[in-house]
Amino acid sequence: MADDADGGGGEIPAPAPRRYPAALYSQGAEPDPRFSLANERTFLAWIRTSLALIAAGVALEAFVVTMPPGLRLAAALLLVVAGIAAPVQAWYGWLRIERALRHSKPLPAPTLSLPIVLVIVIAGVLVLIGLLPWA
Amino acid sequence: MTGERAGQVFDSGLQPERTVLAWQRTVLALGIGVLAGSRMLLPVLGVLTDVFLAVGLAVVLGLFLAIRRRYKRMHAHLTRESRLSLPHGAVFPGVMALFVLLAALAALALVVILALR
Repeated sequence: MADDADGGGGEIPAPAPRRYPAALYSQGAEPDPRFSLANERTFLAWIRTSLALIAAGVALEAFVVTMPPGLRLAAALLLVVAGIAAPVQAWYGWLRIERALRHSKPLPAPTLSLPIVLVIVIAGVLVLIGLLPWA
Repeated sequence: MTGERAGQVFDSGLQPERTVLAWQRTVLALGIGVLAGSRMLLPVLGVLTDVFLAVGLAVVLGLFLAIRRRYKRMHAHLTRESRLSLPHGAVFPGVMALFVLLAALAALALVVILALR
């Protein structure tokens, strides 16, 4: 990093160090670092969403919420499955957005967001039904 | 912002600093998840829970310390050398995504085991 700090001419930046994943960083041009950092924060938001979904699913079953066991298990499984999908979306979303940034292309939509939302809504409806007094 | 030398920041929107804070709260949430998860796994895994706890806390602590080092390196790179690129790739995001994915799969198994008991 510090070996060529003053370089003289300064018209071409020094080559960046090897970065993972190499297949991504070997293509396109360097985007504005602020965009890459924003992309990283979006990735982290998905990770926190995953952690919340996992916690909700496990808590539903572990704390034996008073509702029909079948509904409770179905809701817990749906929440945890959404928690599995979220880090997949986090990683591939990060990768696709970074690739789009490097090629100055429009940003892709989060592919798995709609399925995850649907699964969460279904789980919520199941919990609601399970908590009704006549269930 | 206000700083000139020591307090110099790369971006007035504090993007690197916000990103580090996002990492820290994510790692903190992960740490709480590891502690709570090991408490719930205790009746299921028994002594093996210690392994889960040790590995989980090692990953959390390692990520927390590494994120700080990474920020200092990034800050120096972006401010002192005025380069318009990030010095790091996606090793940490990759580790984080993999770890959370494994935790989610473990949680799926835990839910099934809890339901069968």
